[in-house]
Amino acid sequence: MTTDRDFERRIADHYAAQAPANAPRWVLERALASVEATPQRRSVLGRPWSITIRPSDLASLGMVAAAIAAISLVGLVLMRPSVIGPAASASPSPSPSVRPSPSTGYSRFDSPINGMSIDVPSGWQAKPATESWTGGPLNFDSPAADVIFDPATRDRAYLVLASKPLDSLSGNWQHEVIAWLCNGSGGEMWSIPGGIDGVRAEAHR
Amino acid sequence: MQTDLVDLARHGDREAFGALAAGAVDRLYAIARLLLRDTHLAEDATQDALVRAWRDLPTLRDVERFDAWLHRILVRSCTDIGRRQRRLRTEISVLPLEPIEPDRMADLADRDQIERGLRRLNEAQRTILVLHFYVGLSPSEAAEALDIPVGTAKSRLHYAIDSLRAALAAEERTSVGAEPEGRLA
Repeated sequence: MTTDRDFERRIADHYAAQAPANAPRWVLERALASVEATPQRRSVLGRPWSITIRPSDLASLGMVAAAIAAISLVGLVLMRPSVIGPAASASPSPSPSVRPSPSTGYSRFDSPINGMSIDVPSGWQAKPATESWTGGPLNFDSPAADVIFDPATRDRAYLVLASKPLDSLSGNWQHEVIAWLCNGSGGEMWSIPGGIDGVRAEAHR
Repeated sequence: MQTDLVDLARHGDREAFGALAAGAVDRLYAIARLLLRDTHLAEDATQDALVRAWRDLPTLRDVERFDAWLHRILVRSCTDIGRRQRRLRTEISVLPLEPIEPDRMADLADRDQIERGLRRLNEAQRTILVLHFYVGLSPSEAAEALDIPVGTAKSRLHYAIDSLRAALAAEERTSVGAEPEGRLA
């Protein structure tokens, strides 16, 4: 009776014998010819980005609606943490805090007011919020918003990060938030593929 | 360094991507051939995976994970092409024409037996066997390539091996039972 290791060796030997050593030359040639005519799929903001929610901050923020927006590309993230606590404090961040991210090619921005971290392509800059958001339109110059932007595009394409306690919103709060984000920008709805764990994500353009 | 090439290609450098593709094409083709068991489909899947890789490379966040990411793309290409072609597919085995030495007969018979056993497995089981036993991926790496949880990959691998073993055992029992009873009289 064969042992497990013998049996696995038989499988490995079978595959080694069956596998072709080389691909036909034209496979690579045709693939590269197709590549010449194929544009790369790039993120709407140039490169992919991600958001990380810090649970410890959420505990102190309580139920918070957070919004990420851009003017030409407006994104919206609404989250509902399980821990309920006091509303967000309004203490401003002392300085921009974009620092290297664990992911190569990205920098991490920590938002003390909004209790979030966001990884953005290296080279982007941040203009931290200096006060809490109490509602109203958000844009590049809003003091209540963390503004994260590519220096090449500045106020033509940027992210706005803001948060607000959910209990201060009406039952129709989703539409209110969308209205604030869409103010003056117009455009169509789009989604952030895959969403974010524990976060509902929608966006505008 | 491959990571340098990946980073260049991720930013649109076609020459860097060409170097990456040249280094990967034989391995991708071999995997595709084992997964699809069809030469022409494997060629299509390999091309498709390389073009997809180029197109989606800007979405790769960790250049160190390029190989695992490429395996995942190839598996998807094989799955898509396999599904599209399944109804039209005809498998043709090319038998060796040269004389076979006696000591190779047992080896060929063994491989033929395993091949028949593999045909009794489902696609998901065959895929994880190829990734583990041919590509050499660990269960966690195979899980990444298949975009499934590690626990699922481990159990799938376990059941695939068991199923193959059971298929071979069943075949051996059948062949023993089918042996002529004669020569006694």
